[in-house]
Amino acid sequence: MARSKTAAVVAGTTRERPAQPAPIDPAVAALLDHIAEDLAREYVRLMESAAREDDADVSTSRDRKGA
Amino acid sequence: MAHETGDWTLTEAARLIEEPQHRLIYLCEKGVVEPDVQDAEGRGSSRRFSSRNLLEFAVALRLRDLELPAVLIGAVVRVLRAFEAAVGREIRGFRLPESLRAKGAPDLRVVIGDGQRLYFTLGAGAGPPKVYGGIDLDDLKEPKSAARSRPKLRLVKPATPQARASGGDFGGPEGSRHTRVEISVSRIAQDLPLHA
Repeated sequence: MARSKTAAVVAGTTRERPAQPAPIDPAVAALLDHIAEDLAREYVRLMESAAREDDADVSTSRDRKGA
Repeated sequence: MAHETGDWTLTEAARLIEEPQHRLIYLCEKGVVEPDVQDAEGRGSSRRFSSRNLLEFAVALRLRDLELPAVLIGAVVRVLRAFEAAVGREIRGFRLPESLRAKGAPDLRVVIGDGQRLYFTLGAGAGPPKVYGGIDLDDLKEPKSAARSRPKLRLVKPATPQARASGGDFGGPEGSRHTRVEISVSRIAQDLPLHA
């Protein structure tokens, strides 16, 4: 018995409408990955910078308590 | 939800992000969002989604609300996935969307400048965000045939402070001149009701 499209939608399946991934040019894909790498480097830098600032704050706080 | 990275059915995912199921299915069928836990592979098989998928849906649907094409949205999701993988190689346990929800996490945004170029910005604190990308949206469209030469891809450098000043205070860090659309991926991640 054939399933209706409605049934497929309810089940979240793709039997009646196969997936058709959006095509991306391989060169564009490489460029997108490059952007992601740059973003990741900056993210790591920002997190490391924030961690250093936290360390400095803790040190300053300890110094004040010790004084 | 069954495990740490999330495991939601289509019904649960749609309820969590308060969107109709057909909008989520559309994004899956366009290949924009690939179910992390289980894809639909035939009769009786249904999709199951991770927390990351929920973020991808939420970002993608905000972009769809602006009537942006699926191929552009797919490009944004691709960058998010590659970004997560790249940060994860340096910071153990980094994971989307959880890591963007952490207090003090940098603010990651998507910007469409002048309706023509795709940028990402990343910033933290009071300083200006850094700008990445600048891909011409036309280059995101279907691959050109071998017979046609593909336009040269190039990243556009963000406008200098001087150039931005000459264009007024409108353009944002990427230097858009007339229009800009900005979506905060971090804010969307923070607003996901993952623990509801």
